[in-house]
Amino acid sequence: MEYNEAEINRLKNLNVKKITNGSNGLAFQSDILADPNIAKGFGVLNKAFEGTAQEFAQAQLAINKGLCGDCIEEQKRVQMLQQAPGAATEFLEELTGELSVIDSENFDVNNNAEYAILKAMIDGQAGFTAAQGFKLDLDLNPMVLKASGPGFKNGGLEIAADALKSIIKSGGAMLAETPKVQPEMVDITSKLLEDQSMVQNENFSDDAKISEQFFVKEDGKFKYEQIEVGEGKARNVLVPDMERIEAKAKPFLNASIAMMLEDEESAVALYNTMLKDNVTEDEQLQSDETKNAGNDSWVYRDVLPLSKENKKIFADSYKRYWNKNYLEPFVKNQLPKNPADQEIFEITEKTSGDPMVDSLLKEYGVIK
Amino acid sequence: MSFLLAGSAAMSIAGGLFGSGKAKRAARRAAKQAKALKAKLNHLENNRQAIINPYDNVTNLAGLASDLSNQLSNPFANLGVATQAAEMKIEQADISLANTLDTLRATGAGAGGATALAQAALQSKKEVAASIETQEADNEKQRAQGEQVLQEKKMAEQQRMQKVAMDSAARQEDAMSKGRAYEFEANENREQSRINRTAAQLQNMQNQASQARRDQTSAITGMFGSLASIGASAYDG
Repeated sequence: MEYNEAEINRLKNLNVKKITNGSNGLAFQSDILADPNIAKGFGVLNKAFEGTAQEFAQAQLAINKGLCGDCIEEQKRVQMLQQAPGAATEFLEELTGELSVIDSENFDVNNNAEYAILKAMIDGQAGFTAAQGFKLDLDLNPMVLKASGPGFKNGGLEIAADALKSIIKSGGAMLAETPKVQPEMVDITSKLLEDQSMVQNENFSDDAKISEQFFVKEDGKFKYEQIEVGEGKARNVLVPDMERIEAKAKPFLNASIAMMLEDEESAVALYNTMLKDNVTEDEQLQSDETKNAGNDSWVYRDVLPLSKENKKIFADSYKRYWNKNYLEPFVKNQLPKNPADQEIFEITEKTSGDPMVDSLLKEYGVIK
Repeated sequence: MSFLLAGSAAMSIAGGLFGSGKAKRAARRAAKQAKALKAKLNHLENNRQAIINPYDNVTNLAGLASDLSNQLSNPFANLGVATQAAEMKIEQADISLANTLDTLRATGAGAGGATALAQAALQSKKEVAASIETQEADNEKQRAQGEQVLQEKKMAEQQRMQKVAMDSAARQEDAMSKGRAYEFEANENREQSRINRTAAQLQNMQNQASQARRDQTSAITGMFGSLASIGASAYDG
């Protein structure tokens, strides 16, 4: 079976997740258990600053004793070494902060899997140590973190401190975080509820129901439609006034969509993990691994920034998602308010009144 | 000065980096969410229905009241004098006189008869004239009375019109004032509500950002504690 690049990336992410979540399989791999490097880390800072004290002393000494002429190079060296510890900690701080997204809820496995491997290495996860061929180094000038080993493409991953800084400064991120969608969806539905108190802690209360005004009435009485319940029986249900519901919900839906699209990479994560395949947060919670849209997923580097068409696709799926998961349960198959109208009844067949025609209709299955 | 980090100190630094990095990101995330919330609020604000002035379609109904005074007329203005009757009377008198004259001629009556006849004729003409005069005087009287009534009615109509116009204008002015007051109040409430909501949400985000910064500080403090322990071995190399 051949995999495309995006599929391979997703598989890598899923595998790293499995391992870092403590897959039992690891306990059976003796080489990992025997690895003395576990929990010791890669000593990135140690290695990066190895010998720099001597370097610093030599350069400083040369400047102090006037052994280097105008000493421009030495001055630069001293300055760089003086700033390096602060810059290195700041860089690693930013980097680890960005990588922490990997542990967030509903992480989209379409994010670059190499970052997940890097995080596992930095975390000192079993299976991601030097013994497995992983290597992690920090160059000080220019400051670049280099990671290599199984799972990395083209010999490894390089992250430059300046590049990361500029991404963060511009409001961007290395990894997309999947936003929480339930509070938004509940908030939109709350505009239709009989009472705002029917929403508690960003969820519906057990007695939550939408206001009567959103069901069709004729001559002051609720309109019913019949639904079959089997064995030739049916019951009445209320007819939702979709036009009125849409008119009420539309501005809130659109505002919510505008908010989501403010952070496009997060919108992509939401699309991949929930909207595309209509997966609810509850379903994600119950799933062993974060569900995703598979081959229908949006690939970050291909779709960002989102085009007008993709924004529309996102908006449409967002509306569908709300409709399916947060509106339908309140409007579909809702029993009449009047208890007497809630009774199940026999379905009466309409006949033509002509026995010969009726027998023909029966023969062709039009009536029973 | 030694840059070498070893053992547990290096581990503490790594832990500190993770902690502060995560907190820093949380602060950035909170700021980003605040920005997104602002976009949501702006969208709601820009797309909400416009406040309407319920009275802005009030029109001055005075225009509907029409001045009917120009349709009023004096029905006695052109009263004709009934001259035909007078003319008939004169004609009859003339015929009667002619007959009398023929009789006089046939009977050979004298000059005295002719004089009496002439006086009778004159008398008859005078009566006719007097009748016409009386009619004309009556007519004039009625015309004057009609004119007076007309003027009174015209004035009454104009007064009614003036009242309608003034009442309508007053109502319109009142309605406009109420409308402006409503509009102001609605705007005021909306502004206040927006300010309250934005403030509450921003406060929430600021709290989150502050918490994130506190987390970051505590992570860094822990990290510096580790660095301090390393400081003791400075310049060892």
